[in-house]
Amino acid sequence: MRNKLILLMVIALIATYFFVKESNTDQSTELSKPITEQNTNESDKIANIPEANTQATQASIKEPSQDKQAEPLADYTYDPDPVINNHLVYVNNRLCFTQLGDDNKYSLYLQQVKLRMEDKQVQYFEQYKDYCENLNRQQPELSLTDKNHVISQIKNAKATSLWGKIINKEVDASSLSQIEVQDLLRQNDPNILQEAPQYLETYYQEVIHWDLESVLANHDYDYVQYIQGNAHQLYLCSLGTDCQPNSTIMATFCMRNQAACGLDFNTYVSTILTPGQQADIQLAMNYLRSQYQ
Amino acid sequence: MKSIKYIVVLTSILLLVLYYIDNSSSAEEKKTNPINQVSYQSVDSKPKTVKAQSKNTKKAKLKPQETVVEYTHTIQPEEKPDLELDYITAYRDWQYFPNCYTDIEDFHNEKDPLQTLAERFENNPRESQNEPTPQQNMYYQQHVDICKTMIQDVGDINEEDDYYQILGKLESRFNNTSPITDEAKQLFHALEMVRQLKRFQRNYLDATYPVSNLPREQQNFITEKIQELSTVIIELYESNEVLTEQHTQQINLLSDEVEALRNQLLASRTINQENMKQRKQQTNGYLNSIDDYLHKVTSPDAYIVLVKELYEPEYYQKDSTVIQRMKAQTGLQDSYYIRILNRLVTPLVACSMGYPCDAESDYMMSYCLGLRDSMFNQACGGNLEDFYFNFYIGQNQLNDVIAYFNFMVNRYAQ
Repeated sequence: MRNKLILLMVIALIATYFFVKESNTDQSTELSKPITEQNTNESDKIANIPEANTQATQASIKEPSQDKQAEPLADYTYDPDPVINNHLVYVNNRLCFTQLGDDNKYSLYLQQVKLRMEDKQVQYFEQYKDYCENLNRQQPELSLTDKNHVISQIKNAKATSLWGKIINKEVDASSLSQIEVQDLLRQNDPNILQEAPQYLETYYQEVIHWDLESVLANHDYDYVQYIQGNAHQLYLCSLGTDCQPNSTIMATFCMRNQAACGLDFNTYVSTILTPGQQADIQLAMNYLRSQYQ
Repeated sequence: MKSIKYIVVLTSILLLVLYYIDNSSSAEEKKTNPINQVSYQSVDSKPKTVKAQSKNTKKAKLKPQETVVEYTHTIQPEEKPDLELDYITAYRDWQYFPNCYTDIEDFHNEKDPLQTLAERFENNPRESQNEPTPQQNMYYQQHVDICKTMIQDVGDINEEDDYYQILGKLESRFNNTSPITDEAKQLFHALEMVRQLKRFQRNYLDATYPVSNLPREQQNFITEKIQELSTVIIELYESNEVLTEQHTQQINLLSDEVEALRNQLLASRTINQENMKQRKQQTNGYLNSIDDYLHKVTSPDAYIVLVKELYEPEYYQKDSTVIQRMKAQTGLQDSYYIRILNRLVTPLVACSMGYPCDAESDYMMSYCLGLRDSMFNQACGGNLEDFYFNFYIGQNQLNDVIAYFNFMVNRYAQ
């Protein structure tokens, strides 16, 4: 009888050991959970790629009103924080501010750059000024001809949110704890995410980058950074940020590569990038989704 | 009673074994990256004898090591070789020396270089490895010996030269060496071609800058006038603590005048389109000449030098016909991505042409020790191909690397 009792105790002890071990493992693997998502089969990955807007593949630049999506963010009233709103006005229209500003040096520079570019790029940038002028007529509150006005609005606005305080440098992003950074990202707010890789650079480099190396099973630093950037942008597009052919991001891509001129971001990914890159972008996007949601 | 004791002892042992197995496996997981890991050769516990070499095949003249490390190899002091330094070795030494930047500091400060390596790992953001492996220590010691040899070869007798002085001396030594073999002559010719290409490219860029069509005297007159008016404006500010309305009006008038003169200068600047087109054609034509020459090249060093010029797409510039053809044949369209692929494919092609890619090569030492990139213990002891294909390059990128590699090999390295 006594022997049985001791035997039972021993079994209970072993069971307790495994129980405690299991619960510890659950906690420690919480961060690495997204890594297991890479096991998703290929067809699922492809199915997850947001559908390309085929109408947007035309090389010509459309009127601003045509580019609006179902849930536009371009009215800048999404977030009540005036610092964020003003900042996004500047960031999302950076090229129009320079195109419509009265900076002679920039005009000359642009003239020079155009001379070196491919015909398709030149055509794109010649039409881009018309696009900016139309946008300025339709939304005069953006003050696209006066960059200094927007900059002073950013400086004079009072931040009402943590992200606003980070943007106007009231709070140093590097002083945030990892949990605070994760909380910010998990708000899944495009206004935050749009510039999160710049402002939260340390977290993106020291957590997200290394995780992505594992997710992609690729250790080429530059390649992983490149995939991360594209996946982040594709995710932003899925949240409704401007990814149309005349968005700042696509204008920048067009300057870099004529094949990108006139494409929206989804079409760019699905037609210009290789199947391998697309598969990696999808894996990275799945991982980022787990960070942002 | 005996059986109870027996069960208790047995259970304790069982628990201890379970605990040990569990802990050791999680420690292993922390140390290594989980996916696609390639195993590397383990280091024998016996001290290994490695020839300290100033890259390539030159023998070293080193003093016996003063710092004794468990895995340190033994190095015999040797006399400086009588044979004259060959052109390619002199070139590779000069190219390698930027890896020795921290070592010079260590030599001057009499700091143990292995301590420097350990510190580099302490600050390594990759959580998988926070200290060098014995094998990395061994290779680092070998790298230090290579640097020391170069310093002793060209530096002053008291070893007080700084990094830039030694780099300059290595460059001079290379420039004073004559190319004898075919491969050396190819490298010489390749470097000459690059120098000529840079001249053509500079001429083209100069031609894209607008030049004023006003006579030189008139340009000078306007510039002097702008300076004169600006001085008056500054004096008005400096001599009056509070500006009156009259002062303000005067400043505004002068500022408008300055602006008008500046605009006059800017408006007079035009670009000579014909000249620009000619320069562009000249550059493009020369790139095609380099492409033609590259077909004949058998020297991997010459290949590395020339391919860098031919296949690095320039942003904000028209693609050369060479790049257009490559994009069309490989399906790679993103210029930024092509730059990333170049860093992988160029060494692979060079390896296939006989460039050193084994465990002691510049490439592998760089990856193993983080001399130029991150440090990977998976790179230590292996060759470049194995490292790239079994660990470094991901499966999804593989097809792009292979497509680009095949294009290059079929075109040049057959």
